[in-house]
Amino acid sequence: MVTQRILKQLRLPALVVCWSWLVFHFLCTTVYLAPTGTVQAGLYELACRYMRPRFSQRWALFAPDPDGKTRHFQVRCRIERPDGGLQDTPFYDVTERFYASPWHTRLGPDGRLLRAYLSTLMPLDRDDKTLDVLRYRAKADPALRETLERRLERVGQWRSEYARRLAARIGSAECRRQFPEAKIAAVTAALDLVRPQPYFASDPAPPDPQRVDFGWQPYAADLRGL
Amino acid sequence: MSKVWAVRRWLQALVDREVEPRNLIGLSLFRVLVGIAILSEFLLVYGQRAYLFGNRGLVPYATYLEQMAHFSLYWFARSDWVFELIYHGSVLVVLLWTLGYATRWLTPLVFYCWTSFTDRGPPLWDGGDNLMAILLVFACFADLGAHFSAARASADPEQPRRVQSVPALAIFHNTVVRAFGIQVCIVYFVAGIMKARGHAWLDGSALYSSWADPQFGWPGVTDRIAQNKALLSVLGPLTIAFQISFPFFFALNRRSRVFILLVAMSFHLGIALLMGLLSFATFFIAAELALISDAEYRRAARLLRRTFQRESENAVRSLDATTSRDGK
Repeated sequence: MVTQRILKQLRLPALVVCWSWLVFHFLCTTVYLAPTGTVQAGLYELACRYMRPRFSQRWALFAPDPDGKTRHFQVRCRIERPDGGLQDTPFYDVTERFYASPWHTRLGPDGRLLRAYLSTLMPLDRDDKTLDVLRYRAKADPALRETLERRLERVGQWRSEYARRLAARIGSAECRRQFPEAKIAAVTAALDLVRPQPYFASDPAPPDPQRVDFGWQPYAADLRGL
Repeated sequence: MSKVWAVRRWLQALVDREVEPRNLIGLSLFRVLVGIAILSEFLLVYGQRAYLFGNRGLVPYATYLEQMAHFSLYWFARSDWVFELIYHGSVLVVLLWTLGYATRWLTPLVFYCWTSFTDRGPPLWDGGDNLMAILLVFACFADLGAHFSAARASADPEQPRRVQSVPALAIFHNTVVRAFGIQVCIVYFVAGIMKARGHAWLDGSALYSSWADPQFGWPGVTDRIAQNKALLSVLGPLTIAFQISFPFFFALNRRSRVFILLVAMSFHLGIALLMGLLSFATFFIAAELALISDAEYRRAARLLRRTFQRESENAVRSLDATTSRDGK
């Protein structure tokens, strides 16, 4: 009986707490997602303190303009011959087998492998809200420009390094898959970005494929699993 | 004095309304569908788990520690056997949760299993994982096990759920339902506004470009659709209109809410088939199922039952007519 009464008494405070949280949470979400402007830039750090990392979100789903590029992950292996000499294979496309059977890829593990391979494109991804806010502030405050440049450089370096290491491991796994018996000394990987045919006939023809080359790197001998 | 009484009565009515747990069927369906989707993600890459997520895989343990943004179960996975233990333990936890065992206790664990899994390895995900990571935090405070639960099958059906007998729990539960709704509205609205900022969704070239990437599209089907510029120029702006208007239809009234949720589910079925984004679509459909009220589910069940009854009666009648004609 007493418990029932206490529980009944707790209803209103519970409601007030829940609704206050609801308002606070979605205010922070709105600030976090809003286009960069004076108000958003001013409150962004405050919102981030609450939103990150658990409520981080980004909803640019195929927006604003999907680029439509086809990404081909290419691998080249440097094989040690029995006589001690080195032989480089030509580049070969490891993503082709995924593209050749789309439904097989989607309904099996290949879909995830393909995404892992294409995630080496990360250095090209310029979508970063924190940097957007910093860019916006730097427009009004020249002192911030140097900070922004340093930050951009640091982020760029970190991303490139991450992508390079990932590409080396993917390259190593694919070379091992292709030449299971060979002694592999080094690998190189590259991503070819092929633009689609223009949608409107009047649009210019697509340029030549763009290549992101990760350069030669030592074979990752510790790699397991593929 | 009468004003004070009016406010008190209004508050009382508000509180009374809030202690009735809502969307118990929808949230149970959410659990089942999300559970199946998460389990399939774990099992789909089972053979490749060491390569994609392991310590000597694509992202070695040391690199993973450098990029780790928040607590993750795989932080403990310094050796291969701990990694295997966490991976298999996660599968077990998600399986039990999907079946409806101890959902209140397992939901936070499922959240950790899922976010730890998506954070490990290279970036493999598509936005559906992001929505799930957020909704699962909310779901920790809701009752996801009222229906479609193996644990519930062996329990006394007359016994009320704790969420039905403890008012504060019901208030938490209903807040979660609201948070689900607002979060889904935000996703659609922001995605719609972002699309409207470019030109490609307005002139229809966005779908053409998306399908030009062989990661997406259904060969033989989307190629044909992509050739029809008139159709694309309708589908692009229609997508923006649907996404931006979602919150308004959702908030307008009960009927408009059901209508827009059905449109949203069809939209995501389309994404699953025509874009091949299966897990993304499943997660969104699960979130949308959670937003349909118990009354709507019961109405739909009654409607289905009546339709099937009528169909079977018609079938029996036509069978009777055939046999009596043959008898003559």
